[in-house]
Amino acid sequence: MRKLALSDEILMSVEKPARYIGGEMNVVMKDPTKMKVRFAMCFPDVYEVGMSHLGIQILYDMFNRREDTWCERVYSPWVDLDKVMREKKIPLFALESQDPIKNFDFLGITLQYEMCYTNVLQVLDLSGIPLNAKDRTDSDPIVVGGGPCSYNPEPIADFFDFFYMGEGETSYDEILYLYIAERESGHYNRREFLKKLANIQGMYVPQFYDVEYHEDGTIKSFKPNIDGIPTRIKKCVDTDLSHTVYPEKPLVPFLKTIQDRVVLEIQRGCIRGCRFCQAGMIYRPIRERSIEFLKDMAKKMLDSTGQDEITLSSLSSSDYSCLQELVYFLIDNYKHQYVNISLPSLRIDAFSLDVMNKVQDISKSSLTFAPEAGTQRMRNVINKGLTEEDILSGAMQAFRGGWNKVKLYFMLGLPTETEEDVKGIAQLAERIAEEYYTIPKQERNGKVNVGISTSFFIPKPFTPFQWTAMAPKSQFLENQRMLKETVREQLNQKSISYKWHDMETSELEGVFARGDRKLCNAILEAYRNGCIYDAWAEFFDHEKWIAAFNNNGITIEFYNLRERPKDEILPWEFIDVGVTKNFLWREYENARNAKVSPNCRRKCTGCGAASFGVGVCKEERLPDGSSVNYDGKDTGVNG
Amino acid sequence: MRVRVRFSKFGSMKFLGHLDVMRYFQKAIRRTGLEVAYSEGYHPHQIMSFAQPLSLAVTSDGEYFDVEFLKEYPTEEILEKLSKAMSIEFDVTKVTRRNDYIEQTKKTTCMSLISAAAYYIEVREQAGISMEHVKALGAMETCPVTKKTKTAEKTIDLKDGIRELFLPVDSLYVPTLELQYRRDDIKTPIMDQETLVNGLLHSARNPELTSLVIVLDAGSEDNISANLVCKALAELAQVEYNPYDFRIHRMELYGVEEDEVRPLWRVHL
Repeated sequence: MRKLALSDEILMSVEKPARYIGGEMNVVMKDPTKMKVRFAMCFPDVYEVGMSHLGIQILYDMFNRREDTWCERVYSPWVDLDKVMREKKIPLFALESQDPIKNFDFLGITLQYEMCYTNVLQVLDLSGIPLNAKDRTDSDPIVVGGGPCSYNPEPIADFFDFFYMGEGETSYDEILYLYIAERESGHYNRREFLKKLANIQGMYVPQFYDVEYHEDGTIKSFKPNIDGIPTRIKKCVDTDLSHTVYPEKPLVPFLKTIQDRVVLEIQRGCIRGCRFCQAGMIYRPIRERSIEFLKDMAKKMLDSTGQDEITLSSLSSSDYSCLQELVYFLIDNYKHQYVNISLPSLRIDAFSLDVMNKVQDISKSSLTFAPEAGTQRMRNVINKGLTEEDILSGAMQAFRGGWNKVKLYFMLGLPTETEEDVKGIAQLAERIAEEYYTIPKQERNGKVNVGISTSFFIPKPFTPFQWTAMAPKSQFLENQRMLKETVREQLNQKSISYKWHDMETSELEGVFARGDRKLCNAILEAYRNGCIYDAWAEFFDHEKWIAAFNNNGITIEFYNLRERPKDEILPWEFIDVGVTKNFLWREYENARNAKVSPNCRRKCTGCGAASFGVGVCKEERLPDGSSVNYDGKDTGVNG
Repeated sequence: MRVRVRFSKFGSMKFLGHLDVMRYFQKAIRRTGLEVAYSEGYHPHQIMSFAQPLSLAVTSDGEYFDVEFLKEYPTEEILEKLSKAMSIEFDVTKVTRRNDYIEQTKKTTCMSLISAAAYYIEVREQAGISMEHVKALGAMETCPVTKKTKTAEKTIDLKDGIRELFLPVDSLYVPTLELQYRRDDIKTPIMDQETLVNGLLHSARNPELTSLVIVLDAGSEDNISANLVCKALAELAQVEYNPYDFRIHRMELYGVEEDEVRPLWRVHL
């Protein structure tokens, strides 16, 4: 029988013990004595969140195809077990073998959002791995970070042996072969291994680079401190997404997870170029997976998991060239098997309404639009090529089709925002409600329900807004109040509801997003003082963070409220994501002039991603202005 | 076609709650590719009903659910395909056909058919509970215990809820299970041969430990949890009750058909 790392007494004393036992359908079990590499893959949040992440499933499958490697999973123990493990000094373990992480060769941590940083330290700490990479010995696992937040790894640079910049499918084989060779040489040395690793494309070993600062805290220089390693790190890109690894047998969790369904990534990257969106820049260029690949994968995954829902994942589904064929294929083949099809980030048009009609219960579902800004001027600033007419006509088509719930997503605090832009949000909601009531009473479906939701704009690295100042807290709160008031003054106020996100974590997220290495100590101190699960409102402790900032000379003003000049060396500038600084600056200027840029399929804007020589960059462009299909209307639809 | 499925849940899977087990089997059935019947309406679900939920930390060889298929399949095929769809520490052990002519009513759900349950209980060495205490339980006239329900606490006689009690004994070097107690009203033995052998195998694995095999009232009306027996034993031995001193394994569930108490897989209602 499988031995568990935790005793029955402990498992029975914590919430949801199934988080810690592994053994799910399609789990990979191997004989540890036959392995050359033990890889622990970590999502630093609770099981139900971590298990919902596609990237780990892809890498889990990829690593486990190797006969000499066993990849296992580890998640953050929930706060109840965290406490017990500290008290009883129980080391953190992997779900499959239940073996301590400390004995693994690698610990890979995916960094999906900034607020997980203290959980990274929790995982290291509970594992018994020194928190600072420089304190680790040859017997400690190599700690590697990846995922979107590694595009500015500097705030957590001290805690990682290396960061893998780019897409995991490309270079892990090379890394593992290097590691095995070093281990088998008989004189393995951590530092020597990392030195060799630093020469593989995309691998950033922070300890081999030094940062010098000016008196004002900005960066003076960023340079390697050893010879023979690159000064710039170029991200890895998978060149052919139709001939690559993809999990045919994804894990099926026992517990209900956030995303408890089959996830089919139909394409990677985005052609849209929304100026606030980091994903739209760092995953360039867009690469589609072939329709044959996707049909085959959908069947294999549904058969092997028994899941009753499949979601098509991408940044903008409507831009996938064979979307209709794929969706109708899924409906025709799986509808009678009661498979639900979910299509996030879909533009509202006749096709999407038809699909939704077939796959969803209209009376319960709502339509989601993401105009992001309330006025046309502001939408031009952020390059969200969606017009008010698009939104109104999309909503009207939906109303005629029987829907009466609409959700609208906006951001507050966008660059150049004025009072008019804030009020414009309420006015847009009002006009949608008014449109609804132009339908004769006998033809409409009761009252309309327009939900406004706002989040705070946080400037991110590798976007045209990476130089911009984030709005101060006071402005956010004032805008929130103004918006609330404007909604209330309107004729249809009873049909409009307004929900908003909390400000305090946004402020910190802003600091981490564009932070530098000086933050490492503050994060460490916050963790030592008990900060953990910061992404969870019930555990986020603003005061502890402010204290940790103060003690380490960190001010929110420096990171958030400062407009950076073009010639400032930004902390993440040593990373080459394809998209160039010149392009981003050009786009920043266009933003300030409220000038819209075309999407990748219409016209190349010379962003730099063509250097990868793949995807849309090699495709033939559409004749200028000929296609409404690829222009504009990128509203979203959600179930 | 209506079938009843018996399955085992063991090892680390004892930490899965009832709802998660239900979700697990819904997906497992989909993995078989067999055409399962769904309910009508906007949120169709598989026509499936589970027998008595198992407490966390208890393992079992006697778990059941009923499910309906749209087509006729040989039960061997269902068993084979379901077995292939299992993850570790789950086994499907029996698939039996249920009568088609009986209308699906509340009285014929898997849950409502249950009348008794057989358990193997093993006591940790350091718990201070010996075979003598188990024998004493068998010999007692009455054994008052407090039973907690959702709303109240009440005192019941545990002996009213015990139908049969067996103890492992070494006779002529062959370990056997010996009947220690049977409730007065029980005319025909309840424990079936297969379950008896199962209990024997369990106790023979750790012959030095105190262990017992017991048949308790079960079902929605007079359910006696195996924990109550453990508590009573602790009281008899005058030691503090610690649930982790006991390993509880459910072996079988019993239902009534034609006035006979049978393992649920032999009940065709």
